[in-house]
Amino acid sequence: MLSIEKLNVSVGDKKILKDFNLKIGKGEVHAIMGPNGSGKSTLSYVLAGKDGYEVDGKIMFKNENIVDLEADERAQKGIFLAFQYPIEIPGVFMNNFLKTSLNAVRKAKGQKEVDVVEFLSLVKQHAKKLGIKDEQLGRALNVGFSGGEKKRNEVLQMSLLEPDLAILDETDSGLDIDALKIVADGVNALRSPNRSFLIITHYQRLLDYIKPDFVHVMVNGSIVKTGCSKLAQELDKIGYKEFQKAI
Amino acid sequence: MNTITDIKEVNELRTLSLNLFNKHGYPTKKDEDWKQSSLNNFLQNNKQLEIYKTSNETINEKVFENFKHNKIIIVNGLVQKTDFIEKDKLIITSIDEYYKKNNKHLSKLFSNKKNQLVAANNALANTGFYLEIKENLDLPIIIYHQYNSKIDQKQLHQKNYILINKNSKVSIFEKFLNENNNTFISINTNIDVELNSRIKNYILNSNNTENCIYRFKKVNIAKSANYESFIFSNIIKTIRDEVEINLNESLAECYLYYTQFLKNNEDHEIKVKINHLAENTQSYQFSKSIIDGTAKGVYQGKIFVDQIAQKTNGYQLIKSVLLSDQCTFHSKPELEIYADDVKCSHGSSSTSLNKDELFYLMARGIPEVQAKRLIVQGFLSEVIEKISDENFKNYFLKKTEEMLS
Repeated sequence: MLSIEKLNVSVGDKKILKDFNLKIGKGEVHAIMGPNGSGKSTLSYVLAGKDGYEVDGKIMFKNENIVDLEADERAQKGIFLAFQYPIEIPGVFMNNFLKTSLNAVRKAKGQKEVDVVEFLSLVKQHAKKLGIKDEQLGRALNVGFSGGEKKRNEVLQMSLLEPDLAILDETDSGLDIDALKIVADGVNALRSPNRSFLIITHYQRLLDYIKPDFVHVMVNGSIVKTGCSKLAQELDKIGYKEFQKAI
Repeated sequence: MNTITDIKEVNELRTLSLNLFNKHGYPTKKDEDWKQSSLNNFLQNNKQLEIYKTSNETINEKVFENFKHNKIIIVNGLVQKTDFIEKDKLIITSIDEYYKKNNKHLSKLFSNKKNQLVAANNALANTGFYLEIKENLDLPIIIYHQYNSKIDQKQLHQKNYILINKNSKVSIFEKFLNENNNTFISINTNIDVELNSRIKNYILNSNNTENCIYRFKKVNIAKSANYESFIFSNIIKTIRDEVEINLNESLAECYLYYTQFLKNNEDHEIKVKINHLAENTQSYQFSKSIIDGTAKGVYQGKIFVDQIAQKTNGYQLIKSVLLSDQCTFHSKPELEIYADDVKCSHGSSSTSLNKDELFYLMARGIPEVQAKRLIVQGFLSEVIEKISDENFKNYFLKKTEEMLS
């Protein structure tokens, strides 16, 4: 599904990702854990196509190098980033935004665009599962949403767009236990043999709910260790210090 | 029919105004209030424009809205036709007729202070209307202001007076159609909003890049009365919208909303002065502009609070987004406060398009052009959402969508 080869990313003189390599197979769930400032969020932004980075290397997605594609083209091809800090956009209403997004992706995939009636029934069905009230769908995008509502909204968008690769950037941050469970259930419901996940997190907590196939430790712009889900539990006990020392 | 010049009192007031105008002449960049004005150039270069005398004019019916409303059609400043569904609730005559019947207390309508263009209008206006709202109207009034090629290369001064009687509510929508060229149009409107009455005044300021237009409104608001205005501006050039509001008695309120979308070499100026002259009065200004190309936007907004105007609540927020490197937006917020128990705030920001917002939308598969459009539409809609008349709110939201598509 995704193969990152020798990815180097910098902003000005500062190198953030260094010879970064990662392969994610179809249907696999990978977790990347690491201390603050290790480059995890940069990785998620670069995969989603954010401007402002100097990028060198290959990002092969479904056998195509997407390094030069714009963010919208990547999303249309099936990459989805659930943001760590979903931005508030006043005046852009949820329903309008979701419908525009869904139809842009459907159009790119050669699928029929949905009309208002189809859209409303679809969005309500997904929202209900995530405990999102209808009233929230009539509001401006993320404006006045609580931390939990914002994260649930990210999962709602993910479930509507049905991506092939979902990147979750610290989706657990700012969530209480109940909200974490709802979000994790939402993600688990989307797991399928055709869909891959890259979960970025500081803590093992989220991984109690979403069991990864692989756990990677990222320090200072590179992956320094890879293991199974047990690695996350170890990290929870010993922290990242040992890995940071090794560099 | 009497003309304005037949009335002695009016003649005297006009002479006073003419003297004032002759003393100061047209405004220049040296006048603080006109520093950023693009009207200066036009006026300095076209001082000799002939004054147009209105006669019977042809009406363009294509621009009529298809929802139910009371119609007033004004061509080249003169009321040509009215079509009222609620006939008993309003009166319209020419301004001359009004002067004839009320010739004792006209000085209020001719106050100039230091504004040269208002003085010129007071001295030279030979057309205009008087509109009186007698009681609540269920349907809006639409005033179609139409200008045709007969006034090409001329100047037209129009003076209007709108009176909203006590306990009356009305929505007045003004729609402008300019089919003329190189004209200076000056429209000076006095509005009296009497005890416990309410006026919603919406303006579609669109498609005029060939003429110089100065619209001045002076609004007097009485106790518990309320004035709400919204001006939607796009595809315009050399237009100045100016309003002076007097909150004369307690619980008087005004709400002023503006959106403008200017591109190419367009420009638009907004000038607001709000005078809080009594206790417990409230004013609210909210303006949002999108500026592109080499366009220029100007917003001058002043809140004045008199010594006796305790418990004043004044608010002003001016935001603009600049889409190109060559466009400009000048914002000049001012507060002048002489009372000590007041709540006044003002904020002004000019930014480029928010890249994080753009990335968020694009990361959801929305192409850049469409994403920008959504952001711009959302930015302007935030003001339009404040409009209290639901029908007109939806009308302008739709206009915004059409403007961007």
